Amino acid sequence: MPKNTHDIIVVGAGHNGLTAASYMAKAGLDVLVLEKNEWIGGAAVSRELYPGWKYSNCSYVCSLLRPEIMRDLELYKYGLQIIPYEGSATMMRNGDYYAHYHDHDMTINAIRRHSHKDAEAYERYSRDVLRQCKIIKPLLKMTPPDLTSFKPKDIFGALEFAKHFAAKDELGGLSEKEIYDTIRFYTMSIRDYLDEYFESEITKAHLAGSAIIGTALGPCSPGSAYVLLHHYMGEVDGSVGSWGYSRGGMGSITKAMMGCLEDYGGEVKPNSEVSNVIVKNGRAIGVATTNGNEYYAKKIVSNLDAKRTFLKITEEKALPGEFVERIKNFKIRGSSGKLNIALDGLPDFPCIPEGDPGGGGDMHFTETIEEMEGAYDDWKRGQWSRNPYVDMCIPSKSDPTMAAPGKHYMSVFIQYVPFNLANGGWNEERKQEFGRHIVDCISEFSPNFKDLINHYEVRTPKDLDSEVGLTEGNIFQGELTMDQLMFNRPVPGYAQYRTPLKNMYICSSSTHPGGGVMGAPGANAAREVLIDMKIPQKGNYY
Amino acid sequence: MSEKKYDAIIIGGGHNGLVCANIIAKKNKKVLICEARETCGGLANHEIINYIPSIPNSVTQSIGGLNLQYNPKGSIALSESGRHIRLIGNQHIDHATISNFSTQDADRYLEFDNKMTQFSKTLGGFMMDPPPRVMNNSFSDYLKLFKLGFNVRMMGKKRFNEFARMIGLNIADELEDNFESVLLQGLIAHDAVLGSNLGPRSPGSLINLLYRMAIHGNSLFGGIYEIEGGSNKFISVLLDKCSKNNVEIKTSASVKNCLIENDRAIGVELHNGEKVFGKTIISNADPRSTYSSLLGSQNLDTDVKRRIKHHRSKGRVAKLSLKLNKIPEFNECNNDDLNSRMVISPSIDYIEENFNPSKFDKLSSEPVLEICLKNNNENPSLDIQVQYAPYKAHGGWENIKDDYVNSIIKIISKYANNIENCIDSKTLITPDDLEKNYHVSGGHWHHGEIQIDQLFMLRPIPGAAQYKTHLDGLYMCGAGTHPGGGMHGISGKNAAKVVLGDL
Amino acid sequence: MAIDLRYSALKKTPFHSRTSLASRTNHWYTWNGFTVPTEYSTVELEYTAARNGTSVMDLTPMGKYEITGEEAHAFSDYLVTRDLSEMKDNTVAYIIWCNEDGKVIDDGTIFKYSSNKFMLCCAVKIYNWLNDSAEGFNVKIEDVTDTIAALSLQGPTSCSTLKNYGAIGLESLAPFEMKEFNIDGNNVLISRTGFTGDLGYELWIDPKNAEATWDAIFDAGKHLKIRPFGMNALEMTRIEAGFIQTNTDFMAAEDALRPVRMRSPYEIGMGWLVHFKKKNYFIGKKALKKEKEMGSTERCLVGLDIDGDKPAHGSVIYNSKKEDIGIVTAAMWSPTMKRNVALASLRRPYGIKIKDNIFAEIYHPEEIEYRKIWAKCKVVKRQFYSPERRNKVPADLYE
Repeated sequence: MPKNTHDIIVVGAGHNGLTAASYMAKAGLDVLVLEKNEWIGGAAVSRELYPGWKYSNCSYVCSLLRPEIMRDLELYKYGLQIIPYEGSATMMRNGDYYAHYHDHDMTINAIRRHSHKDAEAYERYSRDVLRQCKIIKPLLKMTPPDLTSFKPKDIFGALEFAKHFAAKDELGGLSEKEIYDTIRFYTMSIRDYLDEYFESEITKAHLAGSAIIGTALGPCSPGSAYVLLHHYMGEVDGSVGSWGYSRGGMGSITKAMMGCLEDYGGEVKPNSEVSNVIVKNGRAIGVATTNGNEYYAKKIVSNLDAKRTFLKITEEKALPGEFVERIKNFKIRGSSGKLNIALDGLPDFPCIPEGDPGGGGDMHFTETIEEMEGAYDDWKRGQWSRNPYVDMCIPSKSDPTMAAPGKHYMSVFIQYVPFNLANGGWNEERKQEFGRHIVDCISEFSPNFKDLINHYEVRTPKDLDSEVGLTEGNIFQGELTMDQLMFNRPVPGYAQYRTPLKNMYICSSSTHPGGGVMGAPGANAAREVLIDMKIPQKGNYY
Repeated sequence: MSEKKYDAIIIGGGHNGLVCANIIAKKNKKVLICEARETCGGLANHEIINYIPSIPNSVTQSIGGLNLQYNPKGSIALSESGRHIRLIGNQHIDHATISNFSTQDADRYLEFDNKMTQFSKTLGGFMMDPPPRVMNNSFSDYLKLFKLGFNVRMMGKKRFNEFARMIGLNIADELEDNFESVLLQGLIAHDAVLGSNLGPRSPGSLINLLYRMAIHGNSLFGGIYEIEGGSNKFISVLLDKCSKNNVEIKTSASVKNCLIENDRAIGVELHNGEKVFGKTIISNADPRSTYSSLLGSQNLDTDVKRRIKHHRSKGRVAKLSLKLNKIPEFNECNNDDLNSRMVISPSIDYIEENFNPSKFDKLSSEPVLEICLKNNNENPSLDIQVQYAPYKAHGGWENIKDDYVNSIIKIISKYANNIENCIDSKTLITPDDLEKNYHVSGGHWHHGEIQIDQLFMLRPIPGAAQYKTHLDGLYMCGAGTHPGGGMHGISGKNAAKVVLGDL
Repeated sequence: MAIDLRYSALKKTPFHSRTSLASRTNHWYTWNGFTVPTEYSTVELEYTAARNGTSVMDLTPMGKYEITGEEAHAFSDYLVTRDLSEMKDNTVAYIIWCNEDGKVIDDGTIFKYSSNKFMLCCAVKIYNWLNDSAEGFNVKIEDVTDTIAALSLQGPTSCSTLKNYGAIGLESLAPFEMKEFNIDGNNVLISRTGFTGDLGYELWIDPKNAEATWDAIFDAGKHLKIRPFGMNALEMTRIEAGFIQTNTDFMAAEDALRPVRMRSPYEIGMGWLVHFKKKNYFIGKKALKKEKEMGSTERCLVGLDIDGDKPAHGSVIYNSKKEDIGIVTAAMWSPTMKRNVALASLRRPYGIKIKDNIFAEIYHPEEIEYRKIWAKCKVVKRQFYSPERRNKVPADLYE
């Protein structure tokens, strides 16, 4: 028996890798997690890149993380606390603003300032979206069945999927009408969907934001309504669709997961980049790292995206040709950038009255769907959006641990930024130019913003690719379009977390149900590994 | 005076209305067609469309055969450099043609064509029948769905998976994954987005192509025909059938609204005040006109009003007709080429750039064009389909029409230098004109977008996808219903089946 | 530092200065984005005012929509299930309206000023629904919730109070009639309507005059046992009267998340308001007709007379085999009738054919512990309490 042998090796210490590892360690397995960076967390990290400030420098807000996972892994014990948003706002060039609040009645009154009809339509809209959230929620936890298989397990799985829609209790018995609504919701563009409810541009622009964050789709692209759901199906303390900050930055989530993993005897090795999977007799038996070590295990679970898992660390000849072809055509397009900013004080946003809780969450300044679509058109041409959609927030307003009192950390998420920049690609100079462009855009709404900047970090899709390891900088590890969801994620026929290579699994967001700091792919993958190892699963998740 | 005179009154004598009328009349039923215009045919008119793909057998059979002569029409993707790609729908020849550009593309093309053809055949059966309803507890509806699922599964595991993936895919991804020739990509992408409100990079644009192939049951470029005599011939053949089957036709008879008694349609009232009574009323008008004018908002539930209000039917294709004094010289084109449809769509990005402004009703300066030369009489003409011409243009069509026409001619001149000297007169029919002159609200070719949320059991709106409207006795047979789109008459045929069942 | 309050959580009614002064408990309730008192003093005293003297309630948050235009009458008739074609000017009608599936969206009252002007009052927000429904009709819909202040005066001395206040000849107003009065130079619209099942009136006034009106009414009623009246007391009186409350006894079809929670008029005892004989189409007609023809009604809303004196709040109702057959939607111990009554939604045939041998499982709080009581119930008429004075014309006066 070779040295360095474990039950399980997880490649990559992102939130899904750690979730999978923790579940498996909890089930009594000896788990080793290998991480290429010196820090752990993947895209859910808090890093002090400038002394005195903590940056959630990739993902920045939390909503999707499944409560069952938090419960099973007892993440509260390891310091996880979610702080709900107070509100959100879109600033307008005429000096006004549009806001949503944690309190429903306040939101209705606020929408009413812009359109009476929209305020009331919002009730119907929330009900319909909430209904879709309810429909999808149990599906997140399921392993998509293989529809082509005639194995009892898969047929049963498919029936389970179907049965779910007819369930009387939770969903209240979906009738023909609701089934049609669901098909429409999954296939429509967010623009068309919102047009069915609202009349004012500002309402539509504010709501459409959630449908484009992180994707290479515009608000006019069919299928974008579903992406909205992907940002709505989360919850903070039972309040469906609401968002919150993770106290201490997003790193607190992965730190807590690691705490749990270590308590169950698992181990994480940083600075260990996996160079390849060791294959023997058509089975994965271990991994080799770039620093020359070899580790062996019964099962290998990859937290890398599909492209990196199958094209980089697995040798092509170990996989069927067609599968490799499909993976090569897997769409994983970077479309987002970020600015992480250390501020000496709280910037003024004159549009939003002081003390208004609307400024306590995400802030935007895209006023029309046309502007948003224009930003997307720029991206299609290989340019960063001249007039971008930004999702900015100042977590330090609510979270005292992010910066010293009086100082603030601001996270600015930018949609759209291409991975392959036209006319020569990214270089340091263009990256800084991009950063300055975004700062200028924000300054338009905040006169003292520039003066308060102490330091800022610019992140392009290129950086996300090279540093975090997200191919092309796609935050979901694969586009959330219909051809890549559920049974099709990452590729049709391999949506059950197993790969064509025996003993190798994939637990990243490239699998169902997809991206976001959700943990579901990790927990689902762990379940499949445990099934294969014939180890009983425990916990509220299963 | 509610004595039933007709078994069926058909509102609108478009090709679907004529097909529907013939099928019903063949069963010895008394049928009346009320056509608002002076002549029947609706959009099946050479002013509007360039050519007709072959009419499906199921339609011709149910009418009792149509004696139509078809001439296959080739497709040519024009290139500014003169290196055009010519495809005629014959796999051997097309393979050889594409090999001149890229051998890899040629092989991939065959593979792609075969795959698409197989998918379209699988989908084909589903297209020909009224769509099933879901959760309706009807055995035959479940059977239909099961049959579709079974057929898809019987293509084999690999194809099944591929099919599942392709439904929501955009055409650009599929083409870029397969082909290196940008021109070839442009040509296929053009056919996928033609007549729709999608760009090649919009998810769902692939199903558009598949959909058309499924209806006509042919391979990618093998399904395009020109009926000898054009669409006018098609209509006159249908009209001949009508007189054989004793279908009465009233032209210049514009219908004002449906007559309703006891929540049932019992007849129609014409704009001239005349009232006609029938057991069933079948509307060949688009869904929006059917619901808001014929049926009347006062007779609809609010939820239905909401659905009809948001039914998307804004046209995106304009038709430019250029009357010529001589045939222009297209670079590197021989006489055969001039008989093909000439497509100016040099790349996917070109189409996408074109599509971008149209999303917000603006015009593109370099539109995508499909050009057909008509040279069978004394006065030759160029018939040009202009893609992504908005329904209501920003700034108003009347103010920008001339500039737009000039920009189109400028583009053609890149491929035919002397075009400007050949033109006698120019007519542009915008979607707005279509609405006004042909009574199609929104001016959409297909009476409604071909997108997944408006297809199958959702076409035109949920609850009215089985050719029955929300009013008993009132049916729909136009392109707004399943399967819709294109000149094929399946909607008319299916509607006739449903109406006959109820009669 | 001044805080710009462009955002504001809850609105205050035009009577707020008076209601907040009158409130001894400072106990508030959110209603349609407004804040109103839950109770002023104690619920029993307020309840008694409605059965003994005059109770005064701030009704301003009630959704109020004005329908004007040439087709206002036709539209109102199309909107609701009841036949309004014969409705006379200056009268009020109790109505319900449904969605396309024939499921009830809300109940309310509609006021007819003339064939060109109607006002609709209801509990839920329906501005969006009215606008979408009005498509194709020549009408204008206006939300007048904020521009009309409303007060409800209920109880045996309410007519006398209002007469003292200046509504001369009010006693001749019949139930569901309305009349405009000029009092102290201001127009006051008074309708003989209410939600307590007793003699009572509702006042519709300009918000500018709200405070003065409140003061004048309390002055006029000072010898007539007048008392401000909150939401909790209203709940008691409406149960006794057998009135239904949207989103309590049934879910509004436009708000229901789960389709199985939606109810047709027949399922909430409102079948008498559905008139198929109406000349024109009305929303939901097709579905309702089908339900009626197929007999596919699944549930019913009934009154229950329950043994014992412990109110059956939220109880599950069982048959004799201990099978679950429905739930209590509202319950109370009636101080007037000394009866333990409840409204319950039952699965048919229970409540229609089977009226006996059903049981409520009551959890009654007794000094921090709940005692489980198995109480026998009897299905009775939902209208538990309806005194003669309620419909008497002329109305009783105390002079």
